[in-house]
Amino acid sequence: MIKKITTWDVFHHETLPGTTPKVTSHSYTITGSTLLHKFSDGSGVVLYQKNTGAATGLTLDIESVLARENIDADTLKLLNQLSASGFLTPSPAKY
Amino acid sequence: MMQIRLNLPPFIFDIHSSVGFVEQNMHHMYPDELFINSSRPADYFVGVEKANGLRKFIRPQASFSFDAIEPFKTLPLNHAYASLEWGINYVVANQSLQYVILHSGIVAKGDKAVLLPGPPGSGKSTMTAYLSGRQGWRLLSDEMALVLPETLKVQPFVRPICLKNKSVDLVKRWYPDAKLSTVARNTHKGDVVHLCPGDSSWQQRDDLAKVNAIVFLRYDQRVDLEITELNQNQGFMQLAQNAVNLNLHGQQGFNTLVNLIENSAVFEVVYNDVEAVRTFLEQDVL
Repeated sequence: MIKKITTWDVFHHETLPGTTPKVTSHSYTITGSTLLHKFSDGSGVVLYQKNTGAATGLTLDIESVLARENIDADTLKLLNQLSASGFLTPSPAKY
Repeated sequence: MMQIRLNLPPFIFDIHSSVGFVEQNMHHMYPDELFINSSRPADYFVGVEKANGLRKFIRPQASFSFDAIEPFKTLPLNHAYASLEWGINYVVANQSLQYVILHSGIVAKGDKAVLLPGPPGSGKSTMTAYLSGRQGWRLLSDEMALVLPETLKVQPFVRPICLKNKSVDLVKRWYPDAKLSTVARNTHKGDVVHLCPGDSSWQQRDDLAKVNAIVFLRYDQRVDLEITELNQNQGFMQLAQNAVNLNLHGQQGFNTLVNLIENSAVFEVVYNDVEAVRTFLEQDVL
C-alpha cells in the first residue's frame, strides 16, 4: 500500500535533522542565573541557582556533556532533571 | 522589670524582661563588662515577658518578642531564659545579612578555627563545649558561624552554650566548676541548660579566626572514632545544607562556600570519645 504523503510530512522529513534515534545535547544550556564551580580536587562540579538558592553537585563535567553531539538516555534524564530544577534551560530552536 | 543593653560583639542588644529568673540568668551567664550604658544605640530590641490571658492562672507562659513582634507561640514560663537565647539566635540568623551564616558550632585554637556543622542531636554543642574548655581553645559560637563574605574569616559571636539532656551531666563531669543556667525542663529539645563559656572565649570575643577545617560530626555510642575525609564536592553539598542565608547572598554567598571548601580540610567524624576527636584535630588537622 502506498502511503499518502501530506505536505506536512514532506516538510518534516525534508527539513528536520532529528529523524534518527540519536539524542542531541544541544537542547540545553546553563541558565544565566546558574553559577558553576569546578572543584580543584577533581571531584566534579557544583551548580548553584542564585535566584532560588538550590545547589547540586555533579561528578561529571556538565560543560563537556552539554557540548557533546550525542548523549545516552540516562544523561538526558539527568539534564531534564537539572532543567526542571532551574539549572539548565532549553536552547532556542535552530529553525 | 529588667531593661539592659548587652554588648555581644558584633551586635548590641536591648533586652527587656519581667521574668525574675531571666535577669538572674543573664547576670550569671554574661560577664559584667558586657552590660553597657543604654546611651549606645542597639542593633536589636528583644525581650521575654510573662504572657497575658487566662492561662497565666493555670500554667504561666512566657513570650519572646523582637521589635514588638512575637514570632513564636508562648512557652511555659520555665522556658523563658532558654527562649530568650533561642530568640536571639533567630534574630541574628534572619537579620544579619552582612554575614554568610552557617548553622554550625565553631571553635578555634589561636586564630585557627574548626567549623562543626551538624543537625540537632549530632553532638555539636557537646563537642563545642568540650573543646572550648580545653587549654588553648576558645568558643566562637555553638550555634552559628558568622562568615565574612568571600573570606575564610569568622566573626566570634560568643554566647552561652545550649546543652541538652545527657550532655549536661557530661559537661558537669568535665568541668565541675562550670557556670550553668537554671534548667528549662521538657522543652522541645528536652531538658536544657546553658553553659557560660570560659574566660578566654570572652576575652577574645572580638578576635576573628580563620577557618582551617570543617568537621561534620555524628555521635554514635558504638563507635570510638571513625574519620572519613570528604572530597570537595561532598563537602560543599553538606555545608550548603547548613547554610542559613545562602540564597540571600547570591553569587557572594556561593563564592564564600566555595572558598571555604577549596581552602579547608573536610572530614566526617563519627565518635563517642570527645578526647579522641580533640587529639585528631590537634595532631592531624591544625
